[in-house]
Amino acid sequence: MNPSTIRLIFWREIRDQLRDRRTLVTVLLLPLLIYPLLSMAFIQVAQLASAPSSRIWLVGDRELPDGPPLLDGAHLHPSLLPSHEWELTSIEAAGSEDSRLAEFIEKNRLANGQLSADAERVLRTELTQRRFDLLVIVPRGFGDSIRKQTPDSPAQILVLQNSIEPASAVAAQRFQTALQAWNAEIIRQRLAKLQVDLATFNAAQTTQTDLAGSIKGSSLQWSRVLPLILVIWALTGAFYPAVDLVAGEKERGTLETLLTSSASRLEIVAGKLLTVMSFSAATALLNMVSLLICGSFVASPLARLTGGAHLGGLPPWEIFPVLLGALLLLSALFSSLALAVAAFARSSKEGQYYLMPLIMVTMPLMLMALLPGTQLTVGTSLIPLTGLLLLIQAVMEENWRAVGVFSAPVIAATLTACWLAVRWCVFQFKDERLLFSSVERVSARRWYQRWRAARWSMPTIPVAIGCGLAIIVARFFVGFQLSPPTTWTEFWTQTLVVLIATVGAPAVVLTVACSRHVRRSLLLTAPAPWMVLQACLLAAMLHPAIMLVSKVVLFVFPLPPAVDQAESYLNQILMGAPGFWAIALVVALAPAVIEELAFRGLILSGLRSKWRSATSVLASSLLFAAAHGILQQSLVTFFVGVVLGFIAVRSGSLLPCIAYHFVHNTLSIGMAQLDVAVVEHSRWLTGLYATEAHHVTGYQPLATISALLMATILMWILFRHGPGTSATTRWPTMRLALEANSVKS
Amino acid sequence: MIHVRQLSKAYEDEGELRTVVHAVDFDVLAGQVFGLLGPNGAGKTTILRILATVLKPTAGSVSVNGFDVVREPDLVRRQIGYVTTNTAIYERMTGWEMVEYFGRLHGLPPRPLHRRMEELFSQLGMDPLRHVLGSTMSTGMRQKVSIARALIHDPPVLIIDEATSGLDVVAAREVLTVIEQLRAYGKCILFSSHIMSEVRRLCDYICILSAGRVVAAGTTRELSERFAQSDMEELFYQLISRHHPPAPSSLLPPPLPNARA
Repeated sequence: MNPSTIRLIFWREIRDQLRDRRTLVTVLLLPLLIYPLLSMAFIQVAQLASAPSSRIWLVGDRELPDGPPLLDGAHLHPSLLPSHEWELTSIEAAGSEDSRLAEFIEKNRLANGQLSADAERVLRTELTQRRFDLLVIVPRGFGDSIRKQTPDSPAQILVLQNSIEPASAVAAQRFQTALQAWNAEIIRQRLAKLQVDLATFNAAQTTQTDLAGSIKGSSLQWSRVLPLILVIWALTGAFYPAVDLVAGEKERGTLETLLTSSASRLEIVAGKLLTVMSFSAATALLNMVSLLICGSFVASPLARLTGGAHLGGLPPWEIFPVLLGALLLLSALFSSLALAVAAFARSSKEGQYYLMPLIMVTMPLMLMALLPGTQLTVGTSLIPLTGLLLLIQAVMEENWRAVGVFSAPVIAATLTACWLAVRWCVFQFKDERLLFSSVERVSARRWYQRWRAARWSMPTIPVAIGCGLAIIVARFFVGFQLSPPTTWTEFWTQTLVVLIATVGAPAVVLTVACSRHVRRSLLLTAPAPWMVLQACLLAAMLHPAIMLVSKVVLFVFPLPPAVDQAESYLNQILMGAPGFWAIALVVALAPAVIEELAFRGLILSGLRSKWRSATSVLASSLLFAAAHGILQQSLVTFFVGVVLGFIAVRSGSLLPCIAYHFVHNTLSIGMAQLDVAVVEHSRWLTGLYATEAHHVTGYQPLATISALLMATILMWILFRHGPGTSATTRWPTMRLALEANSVKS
Repeated sequence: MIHVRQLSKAYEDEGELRTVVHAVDFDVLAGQVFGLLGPNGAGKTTILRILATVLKPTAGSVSVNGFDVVREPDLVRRQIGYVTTNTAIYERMTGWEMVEYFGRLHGLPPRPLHRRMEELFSQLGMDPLRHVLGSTMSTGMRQKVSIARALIHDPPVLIIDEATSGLDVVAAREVLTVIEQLRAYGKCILFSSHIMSEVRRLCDYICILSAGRVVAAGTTRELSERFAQSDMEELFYQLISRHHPPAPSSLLPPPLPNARA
């Protein structure tokens, strides 16, 4: 890679973009104008908006006691509400309709004191027609009850509101406030009669002081707003140049000439990436500066006008260098992603459509960081974007301890994501199918004809991915519908039915429907017997390492208490099983057979029809992991999936995979069921398992290292001496089909 | 200079495998203009893109000036100048900037690069294009810039894909003259076209493709003698008609009854 070539491409692209009027407007002009203009528009709109008035319809005003006063003519008493709310609240007595309404309500009241649905509908219509926001009914004898010094029960007032109407909710809130104040006054008068001081009821009070200070307070407000602005604009600023630099060049034909120059693909990608990064960072930076300036001038008057929280002054200047560093990382992440996604598009127009999927991926990660409960931990720091946003928040909140501890993992996770995106992008630049792809035709008829003619000898990538997604979605919805089993019989029936219905059935149905060679598609071929034995041994030898991975995952992403409780509940159910063999059959063998049919059978075969084996194994493992639902379990399952994929590729048969999966599951359940007393009384088991507080927690370090060494040797043997199935030996690839075509012709 | 052996290329098109080049063989020597002829969709551009290392062959071997296009694509790209059929140039760069950019991409130091640019701009009559943006250039101007861009690093091999497509007579003649000059300089030129007059004027050796297969190859004289047809256009038509029979004229729908002249 030649830096001068990258620099050359970078400056050409920068110059090219700066000569584009649209880019200049989006990157430079828009950020400078958008916030002042938006603020002006908002102030105008805010002036038009006003607090709603409340019309309250009162039935039974004659039942109210003489004092303390609740009403003052056609209003609530002024002492009961703040003046601005009092002015907006008016009361209208029902007068002659008093008895009619009171009777109607009495007649339609249910045993629990609530109104019947019919009565609710009638009163709702009545309120709407008469343009009242609230109906308040004071029952007979209310005044007598209030006048009593010690009533049997609190006197009831019935308040009927229509929560569909926001004005009704406001009216209810105002009446409630007034009633609370009135209630307090009645209590005070009663206590005065009893010669008890009200202070008797206030034994202790709190005095709160916020040590954050005004500067830190404004930082806190900004820490919610600025990360959001940075993400939105870094993404937008990266996306449009990326589309122009890749899809636009494809469309104009200049990419082809660039690819025939002496610059390597990596140099071209690096040059373009730096350009996109520059625009992304510049857009986000200008927006941030513009917002800060605008915010410091306009936010306070705006907050006064609308009665909302204001952003205060500028955040302290010390945080800006750190913010700039974070912005560079954000830009690098979005630029590499945008460039890779844009490489899919054949034209600028098509490229615009890819912004939405990118936002769909970005939004959940961003929202996760903005949720009030999310904090910077080892787990969240490793999630790209979420970790970075939390770090920015920590900087703005001057939480320097968290910044010091988690900066390294956040930067490492972000740079890893960038590196993967860049690799993906370079790969796309080498893929001639993406560089010179023609416009696709969408034709259900054509698809059906091809399917009917059974031209797919083996499952295709869309079939494989479709099957994986169908399994994930089916398991997700079925999981919500099912109630937790209470007995062993319910447990095994439910487990088998769910496995067959959500995993086995989609895989088998899709294989039969979309492939001519069902057995070969599902890898149902006989392997060498030693391979099955080797897979069993490999499962046993790798199990300690997988358990170690599991421990690390649980340390980084601790299980929520609810999942922990569910696990102990499951252990109780398993105690009802007739024996360990039954548990092994249901929890180890059934998933081993059914999941392998789907993930190493149909899905891996389908992915390998075009992709390289390594890519296919990784993709099938991702689907396998996603199908397991819980994040912690999915992360561990991913590693198991990779090993299983490797075995499937090297052995060419599903049987060793089933054997591995079965042994792995059996060992995991066995370890959970193992009695600590048995372990502690056996010298051999003590050397193998580590125990802690009446639980087997994993394997001893020496056992783990020895087993891992053995596993490495076994995998090496499998790699060197396994029959290995490449796509060419299992089904016709392009090259073989080409030869076949040549022979025919 | 260029050696192509059993070159095949297959694409996947909507799930179906489509072979666009079938076991093609040919050699091009230095100082020779080699004409790759064929109707639209015959596979000419695909072969040229493989030679330019933009596409990978599905089968067979291709070497350019001794370098293999699959194993040594970086070295192959240093040997070639590639002129595409769509005169792809950057719209927001001037003619001078564009040629300079590609010269620098090929690693030419500033002083020799500018000397070479002056020569090229003068020889190709491109001086008025120095400060003209690509977006405002005519097709002829674009093609000249495209040729200058391909020649800037003085490559021994030139790959030219339908260079006169869309050009007026004057511009087309200028381009053909440039190619003749390049042959005189000893360049190895692979030239694709479906215009017979150009082929007769320029090509030392011709390879006619139809549906991805070589249907005839030789010098114009050899082909005329072998097929007993002195008219090259007629010969070309006869050869490709065997693979692509033309639609009978009776299938043309009759004029609309109310159509006015």
